Amino acid sequence: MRFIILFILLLGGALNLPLLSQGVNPVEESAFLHRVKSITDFQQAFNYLSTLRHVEVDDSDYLQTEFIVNLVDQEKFGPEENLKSSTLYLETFCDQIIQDYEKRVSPLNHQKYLVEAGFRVKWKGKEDLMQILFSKQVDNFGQSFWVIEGVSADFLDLLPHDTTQFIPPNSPDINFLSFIEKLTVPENSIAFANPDFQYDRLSVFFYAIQQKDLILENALSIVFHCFNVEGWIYQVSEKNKLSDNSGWLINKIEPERSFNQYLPQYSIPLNPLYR
Amino acid sequence: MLKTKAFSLLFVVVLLFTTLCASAQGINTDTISTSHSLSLADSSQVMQKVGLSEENLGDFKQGILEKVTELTNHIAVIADKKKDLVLRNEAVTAAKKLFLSDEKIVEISSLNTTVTKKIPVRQYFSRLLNLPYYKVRITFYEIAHVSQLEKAPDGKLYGTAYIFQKFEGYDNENNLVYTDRTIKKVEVVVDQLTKSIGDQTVYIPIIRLGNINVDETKI
Repeated sequence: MRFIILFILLLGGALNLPLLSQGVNPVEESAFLHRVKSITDFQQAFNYLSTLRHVEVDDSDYLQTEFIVNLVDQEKFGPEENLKSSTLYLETFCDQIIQDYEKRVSPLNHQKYLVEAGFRVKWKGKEDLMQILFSKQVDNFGQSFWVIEGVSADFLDLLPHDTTQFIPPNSPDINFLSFIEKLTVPENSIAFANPDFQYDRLSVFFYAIQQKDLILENALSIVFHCFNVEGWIYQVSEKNKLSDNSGWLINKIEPERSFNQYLPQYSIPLNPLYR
Repeated sequence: MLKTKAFSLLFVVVLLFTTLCASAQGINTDTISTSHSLSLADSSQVMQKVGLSEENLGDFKQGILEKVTELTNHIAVIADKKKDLVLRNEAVTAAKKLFLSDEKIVEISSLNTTVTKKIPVRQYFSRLLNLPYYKVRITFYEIAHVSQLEKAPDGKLYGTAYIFQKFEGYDNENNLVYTDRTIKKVEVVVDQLTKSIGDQTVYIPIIRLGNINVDETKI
């Protein structure tokens, strides 16, 4: 009996020899193989078209609930066995997805997500951070590209409206001298706009780029905000871990809200006069 | 007693068999064997009368994988100090030719800082050639991964190939002095040449590599 056990143990070791002889750690290998390597992988798996190992899903496997667990960051939501019950949101969210699969609705596609990238930037020579929100466009010829939907950074905001400032009624008579004088304090400028005026950060962003006041250095984070599951918003981002649960994973689930409530930093700022 | 002998014999046979299998594969992770390059002639046969369309995206994947494998082979040769310097320099030249331009950027991010280094491809390979290690070992994990290819407004196809790499640098006493694990995300651009041969139009796909993002990872 002892020899049988010894034999089995040694056989197991021997079978690993080719792998070890290459200097490949089986744990690392497994982590790489099971990793959700790209957002395409995530999308394919979420839409239940293929598994994370790129095996086409058979209809007989349909509605296997484990597939969604593999797409969720388990560190964030708890161990696999408790995953569905660990948070109320996740449990309900999973149920919703399963129902959607039954009806074959709510696939994840480009119309149902936005991408938010956090950038390290130089604003007038100084280090700063900003976020840019992108959406994917696909034209009638099937050609795709990303466009900017909005930007968010404190330095792109105009200074608050000083309601004590105004352009005097007689200004045209005296060549707008008072107006010019008041503009020597640049912070005052917005006060002279029509009260209906709404500035947008995106225009400021493009102008700053053109003036070379703003230089993008590198992207620090990429987050997909997904809206394809009715009643829910979830976020997908890349997480590097030494485990089979790694790569592009769901790391946040929230009940659906309006865009302005969910991503208020990209909404058009209200005219400070009316705040 | 007889049983014991039989098991021992069986064990030795299995051990020898698995070891032989490993040798027969001839896989050495720091010098992965050169892939078969997709020749233009082969490509044109595939692409004849088809062009860059959604239907034949799968056809390009093989070509892309071969380009990426070629790149990893060159990286392994460039970094391998045991190899002849002439051969390593040739690998640098060959690696640069895989790119749209040797001015394409390699962005390197580290776990310890949010600041990334950006260097042109040519400089990246020169650095790889002059690494301060006596011996390096590079392990590539499942290099055969390419994202979905998508057509852009310039008519070319764009995708991303992923190279999962472990790097180990050793000193002259064979001590491991540096190691990292990176994910290289390589931009892939598929363009085409159109040629008229008689009354037929032949589309020849041209696969080139673009910018690279190198992410240091805990994996």
